[in-house]
Amino acid sequence: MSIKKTKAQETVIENVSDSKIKFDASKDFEYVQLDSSIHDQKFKTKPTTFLKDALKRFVKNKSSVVAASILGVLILMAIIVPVADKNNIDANNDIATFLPPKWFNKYNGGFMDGTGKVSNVTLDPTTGYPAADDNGNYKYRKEGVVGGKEAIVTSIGYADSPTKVVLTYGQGGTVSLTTDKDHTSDTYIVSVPFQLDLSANYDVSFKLNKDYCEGEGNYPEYSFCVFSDQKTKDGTGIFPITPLSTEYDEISVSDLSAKIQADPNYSSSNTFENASIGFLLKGNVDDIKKTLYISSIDIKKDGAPVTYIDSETSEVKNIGFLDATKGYSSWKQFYSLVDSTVGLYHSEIAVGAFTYDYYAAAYCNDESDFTESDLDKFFELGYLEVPYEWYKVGASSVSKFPGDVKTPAVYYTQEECDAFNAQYGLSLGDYGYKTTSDIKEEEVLYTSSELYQIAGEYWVIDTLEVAPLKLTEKGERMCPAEKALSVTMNKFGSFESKSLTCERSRYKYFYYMGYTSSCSKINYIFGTDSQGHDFFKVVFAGLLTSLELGILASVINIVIGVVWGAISGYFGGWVDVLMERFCEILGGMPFIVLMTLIVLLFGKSNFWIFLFCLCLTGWMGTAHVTRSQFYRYRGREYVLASRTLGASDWRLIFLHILPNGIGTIVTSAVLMIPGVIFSEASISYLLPGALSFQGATSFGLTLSTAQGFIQLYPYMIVSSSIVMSLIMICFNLFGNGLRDAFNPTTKGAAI
Amino acid sequence: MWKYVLKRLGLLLITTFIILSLTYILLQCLPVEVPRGSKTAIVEFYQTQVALGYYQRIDESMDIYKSYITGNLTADYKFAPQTGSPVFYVSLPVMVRYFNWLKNIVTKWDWGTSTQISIGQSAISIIMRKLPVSMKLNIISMIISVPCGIGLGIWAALKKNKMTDHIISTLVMVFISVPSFVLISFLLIWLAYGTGFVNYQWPTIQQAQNWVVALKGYIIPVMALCFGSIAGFARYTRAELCEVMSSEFLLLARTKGLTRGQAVVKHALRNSMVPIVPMIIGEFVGILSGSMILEQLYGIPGIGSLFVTALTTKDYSVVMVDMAIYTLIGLLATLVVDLSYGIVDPRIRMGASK
Repeated sequence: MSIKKTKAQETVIENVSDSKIKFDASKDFEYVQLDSSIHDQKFKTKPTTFLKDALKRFVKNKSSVVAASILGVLILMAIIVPVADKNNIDANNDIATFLPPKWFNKYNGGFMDGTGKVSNVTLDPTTGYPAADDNGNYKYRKEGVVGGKEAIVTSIGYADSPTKVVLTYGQGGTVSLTTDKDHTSDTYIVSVPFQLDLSANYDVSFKLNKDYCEGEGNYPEYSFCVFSDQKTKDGTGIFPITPLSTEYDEISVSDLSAKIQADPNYSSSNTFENASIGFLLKGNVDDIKKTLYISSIDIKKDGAPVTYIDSETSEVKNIGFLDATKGYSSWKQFYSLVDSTVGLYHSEIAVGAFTYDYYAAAYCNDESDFTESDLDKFFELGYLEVPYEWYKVGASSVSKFPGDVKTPAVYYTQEECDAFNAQYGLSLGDYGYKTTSDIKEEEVLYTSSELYQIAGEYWVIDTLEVAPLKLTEKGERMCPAEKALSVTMNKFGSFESKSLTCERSRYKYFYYMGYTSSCSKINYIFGTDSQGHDFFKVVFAGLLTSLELGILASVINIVIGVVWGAISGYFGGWVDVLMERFCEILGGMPFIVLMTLIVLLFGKSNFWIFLFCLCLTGWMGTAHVTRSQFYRYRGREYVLASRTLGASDWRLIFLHILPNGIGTIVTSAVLMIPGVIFSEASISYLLPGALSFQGATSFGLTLSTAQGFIQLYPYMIVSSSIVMSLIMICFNLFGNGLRDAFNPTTKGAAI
Repeated sequence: MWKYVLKRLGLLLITTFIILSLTYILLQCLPVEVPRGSKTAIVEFYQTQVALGYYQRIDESMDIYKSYITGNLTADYKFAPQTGSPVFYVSLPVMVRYFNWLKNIVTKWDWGTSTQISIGQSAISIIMRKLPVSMKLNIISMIISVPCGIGLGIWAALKKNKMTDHIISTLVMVFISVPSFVLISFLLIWLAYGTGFVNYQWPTIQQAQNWVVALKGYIIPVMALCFGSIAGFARYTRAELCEVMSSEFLLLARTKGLTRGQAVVKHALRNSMVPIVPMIIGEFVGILSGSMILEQLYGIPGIGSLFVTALTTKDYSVVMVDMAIYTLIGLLATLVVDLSYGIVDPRIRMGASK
């Protein structure tokens, strides 16, 4: 081998040879490690473990770290919120249902400030505020209308159903008579019966609305008729006044009597005691529903209105109607034969659009009654001061015994009472009173025990009205009863009763009932649900249940999966084939079927049964991964070496092969949690009935319940979906980060 | 190769058979839901069950009749007509019912009749009526999502570690993680309730006569089905393509003078398609099963919502047919995926011993 020497090198070598220095090995060199024991030295660098190394790599992955911290916050919230938030999510608060989310106290144009724009709300023309519904409940209370009634933008709306509200406040419109699609017999719309005197002159005019009949062929064939109570010759009792036609216009008939008399079916009688006017609607044979719209009917007898007496209210009312809405309620006896509907169509009603503050409405004070037990509770809690010395306040009324006037005080002994009992045929107890037909209504009989002596005089204590409510300092802050409107206290002998009608402060009431955690107004940041529960707490309580389920299920699944996969992969052969087939069969059964089967078999479902279902098939993924790992490693040299040294199967499996897969196992455990949450939510969506947790609600159930209100109250599904998405995204990002950290070679690859 | 395919097919049939048998036996252990209503409907139900061989009708001519009359044996249902003597209906043992069920399928291809959903109709005809809706929906979404997904994946891979890639990857991550029902909810709020652009329910037959309405009905379901699979395809394509792009043979292709575009199209793409094509095929078979939640939430009359309804109303015949379809599709999908690996990538040989 030839080495080309540079000039410099050559000179150095020459110099060395020139200087003639002789090397003395013992002098010039010494043994560095002479007599020292040589062995491996410790690394100067800090030792690192597999996990520390993975952590270092994980921290470098920024998105995963962010995901992990969001996840941490969410999990912490799931743990803390259900405990720290004292709002009750078990008791139903009917008043505070469906409050939208409220974050800001200032009016913000409807964004997260607890208000919303509503329109098409029926108004009560007398007050100018939204009207109560048919049951007298206010869906929109006047306290919630932002800006008062001046801010309500009113317009005319059309109502198509004869509800109480429409009948009260509406006007105009038409009465509609709709035949069913395919019925063939004739239908009638008939007025209240009245006396028809054929010798008099009747003028009838009616107006049918043509515009509402939609489409070709929808015009029904009708005829205006007089329905008599007498059998006509053809046996129907019907006198058609106008011929069957489809002519819609304002029609007047002036010679009603003459037309009836001219009818071939007319027999001798001159007066119909119970005659009615109305329409006959020809039965149809085609497949279209037909509706007759009647705007008004007017009947006049010699120029004066024809009347009847309302059987319920004893009022005298006119036959016929000029206003269909009013006519609908007074003309009570619309009736018809088979399969047809009488309704109200396009009644005009005032509707308003306004901004509604749901919180102001829910928290406004209202008039309400408190029962005796409520009052007792208030005394007990120290909200009210010492019981009233109520009997000293004064008698509200002094009643007298019939025939015997002793004003202002009356006093009767037991003997006298007995005598009166005998005289009037009464049976009075110690403190009872009774009115009979021979005693005038307002006169009430009192017995001795109802009479109290005040300042030497005997008073009949009937009802005491106590004016202001005496609240303690604590009561001022917390008592739901704020200002007494009336307090009544009755005392009859040993029997006492108290009742209180007062202005009730709702937010204090919510606190008193345990719905809310504080005695002041609360802003629900996720709003409230259909039962008035704080949805924020509902979501996180559900999340906690789901997380518990997820973590428990993934731990159990990992343990089973690892053991199963280890056995299957390590031993191979027939064991493997059988175990694989078993997995295939069990895994082939749809999860939802297994779930339903188990729920139906157990008869009910709870947390543990659901956990069992999740674990029944959930371990297969881990088993599969573990099996393939064992396939890869079981033939390696180190395993062979270990086996040669006499290691048992158990030792080989758990101490030599399994640790290789620790990263995979941790990652799959983390990724399994969102999978379980997802499965739980899916099942809750598909079979909400089959799955019900006692006590806590799962997140999936919360979501699927919120889904039901998506149209009217979308804020619930939005907030819970955002939490759900966050959880899923963060778990996935976190899991992927972990996977990359444990196995840097697969960085960025698909799962 | 053919031997392997046949072997796999045989195994598939055996597995399907075992799964269905197990499910049938388990379902038969559950309480029977007799249709509510008139007596004739109940008697009709039992008559059908007798005809299918699941129940026994006991009348006077039988010896055992006396012990039912005296009450020594109890029957599931006693039908006492106004004239004549009562008739008893007794359920047969589970295994007898199972063999009768098998016999009906094998000899007559009779999978039983519906007892709740549409009483008296054969279960298979109900399924056949519902299957096309699910299939149509899923095929449409597949046609949209495959090119979109692969295209996005390629785009992201070519712009690796640039802004485009980051945006696509983030979106992919979001759409993979967000559950389908959340997606449907947001789509409903946005498109149906918010803008009122589409109907919030699958159009009814009358509504669907208007083709615009019918077409609009597809928007939400197709979007809901697409987003997930687009994200899946995009992620897979990006990962595969990135791996191939960093391999040595691509460097070779560039060094021999190919442009970047040529190298990507001719070498990288083809190789990265190896795991993606089976994925598409697998999904194509798998999509027939549809999405139960989507069908449930949007009121689509497909087999998914049918399955849930059948399960909740305990219409077991329909459940069984539906399950048979799901099981078969699931197993077929795995088989097709396994086989397609061998077709797409010649290096992989089917059934080769290790």
